[in-house]
Amino acid sequence: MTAGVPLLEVRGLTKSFGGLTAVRDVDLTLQQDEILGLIGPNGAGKTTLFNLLSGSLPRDAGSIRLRGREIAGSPAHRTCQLGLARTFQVPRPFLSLTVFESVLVGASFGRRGGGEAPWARAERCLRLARLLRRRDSRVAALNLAERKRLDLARALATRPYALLVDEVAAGLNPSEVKETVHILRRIHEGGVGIIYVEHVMDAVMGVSHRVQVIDRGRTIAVGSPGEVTRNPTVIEAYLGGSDGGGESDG
Amino acid sequence: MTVFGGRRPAWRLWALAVLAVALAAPILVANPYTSRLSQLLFLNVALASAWNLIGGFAGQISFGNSSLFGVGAYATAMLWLAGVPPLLTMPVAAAAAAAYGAAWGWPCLRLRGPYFAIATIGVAEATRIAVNQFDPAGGASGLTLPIEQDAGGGALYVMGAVLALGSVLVSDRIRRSRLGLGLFALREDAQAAAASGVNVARQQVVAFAIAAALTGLAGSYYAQFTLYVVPEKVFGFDLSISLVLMVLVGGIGTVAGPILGAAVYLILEQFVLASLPDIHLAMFGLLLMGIVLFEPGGLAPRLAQAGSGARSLIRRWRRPGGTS
Ligand SMILES: Nc1ncnc2c1ncn2[C@@H]1O[C@H](COP(=O)(O)OP(=O)(O)O)[C@@H](O)[C@H]1O
Ligand SMILES: [Mg+2]
Repeated sequence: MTAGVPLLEVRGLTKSFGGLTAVRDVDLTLQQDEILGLIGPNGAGKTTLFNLLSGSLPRDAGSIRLRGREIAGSPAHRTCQLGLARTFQVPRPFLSLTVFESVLVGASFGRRGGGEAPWARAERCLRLARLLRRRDSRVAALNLAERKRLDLARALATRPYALLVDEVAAGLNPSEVKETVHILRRIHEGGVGIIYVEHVMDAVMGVSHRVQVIDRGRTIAVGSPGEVTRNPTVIEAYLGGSDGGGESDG
Repeated sequence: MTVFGGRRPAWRLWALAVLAVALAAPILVANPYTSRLSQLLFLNVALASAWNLIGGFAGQISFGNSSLFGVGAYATAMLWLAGVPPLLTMPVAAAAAAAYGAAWGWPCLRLRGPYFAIATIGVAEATRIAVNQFDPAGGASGLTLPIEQDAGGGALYVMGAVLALGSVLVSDRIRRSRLGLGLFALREDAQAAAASGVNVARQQVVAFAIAAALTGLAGSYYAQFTLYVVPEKVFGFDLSISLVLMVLVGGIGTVAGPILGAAVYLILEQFVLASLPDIHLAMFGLLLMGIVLFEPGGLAPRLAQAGSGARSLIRRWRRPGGTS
């Protein structure tokens, strides 16, 4: 891998649902070994962006390069096997499976190679996500915080180069948030680049190297956490968004 | 279920099953009625286990397995009449059914839930109607096969036992395999499975082709012991429905469920058929309603529970105080 190539390079990504353009001409760059925060008001298009990057939704236009290789148009399972994994804003567990089996799915079907048996990788990812104690529990028995960590472990077990994390701290209490952020740091230390969508500002600002802000499908700011929080456009987007209540038309 | 939890030595169970089947053989084969019953049981176990691969493991309820059964039955019947020894027609029956299953499974398995179920009905009915019109295969009146000279029932008994045990073994192996894990995952959440690298379409088609091959073999076996195949029977909707009922009653998604359901179905069928022909499906429907209401997982999980309860009772009884 040449040093100059970004881990993930997105150009002109666009997606409309009928009349609503949820993602409009978005550019995004994730450097090797970077955690990029991605924030924006509700309905800004963050989850849709993840759906496009992960191949869950077909894009209307734009290019997505993973380590220099064009992956736009690949179906979801292929995107995962190429090394771009994701979690879901609302965890999507395999309810009738055990915790270990769920992570084993990722370890068995994700990116090939690594010279490690799938079960060994699954156990390692469970330990990292602090779920080893729950190894043989049914997923249905897990609480929200555990389900979010399970989503992380399952995605990590696919051996991603880059990981898309969607609101993994939302709905958790402060100590659970701390634990989750710690896990993200550990994943990053393991050499995985992360795009981190989050509304819990302490979490995302504390862990991200750079932050990109989107509003109504467009990028409105990119910079260090400090720069972004002082940016007047960003402040206005957030105030406008919360003043507007449930309004999402525009 | 625990995919990789089965650490108990499975070979012991298998040895027991083979022994039971072998010991029962002389008693069953001696009498034409019990000989026939054992053939039907083997047939149903194989069919229900195969159905469960896609209906239970992948959660895709098929009402169209008769189309695969019929292809197997007709492949054997037509080749046999053309002079091929029946045993040699079996691989062809399996391959033809697998090919046919893969051909219509590929588009239909992209649908999920009730949409898939309805599509399977359409395919199976279309197949039945087409064969009804197909004169080289005897049309609606079907094909009658030559009566074998050495039809003592022994060979058919062994063939049926191998088919049934083989189908259950395949099912058990898949349950513990990577394929099985992928099927369980996509059954629970297809999108999350895909995001974890599971090729949802391919996993389902592979499982369906395996199920189709087993169903085709069962069709071939059926042709060999009834010596008569007719579209209304081997491509019939009744057959498809009965498989769904067997597995739901026995316990969907488990390995033991189809065996149990097949046995219950056969007993009920024989029992009711003697006194009230043609209402056994209705009786079974009633049983199914009862199970859905009171035991939604089917009989197998409940029996396993009772079994482990009994085992722990026995253990306690053997070692009072429970020291270890
Ligand atoms: N599948 C879909 N069909 C139609 N509209 C959608 C769909 N997914 C998202 N949207 C719309 O796109 C916009 C962006 O949504 P989303 O990406 O979920 O925002 P965020 O994750 O930033 O809160 C919203 O207005 C939402 O209603
Ligand atoms: Mg979102």
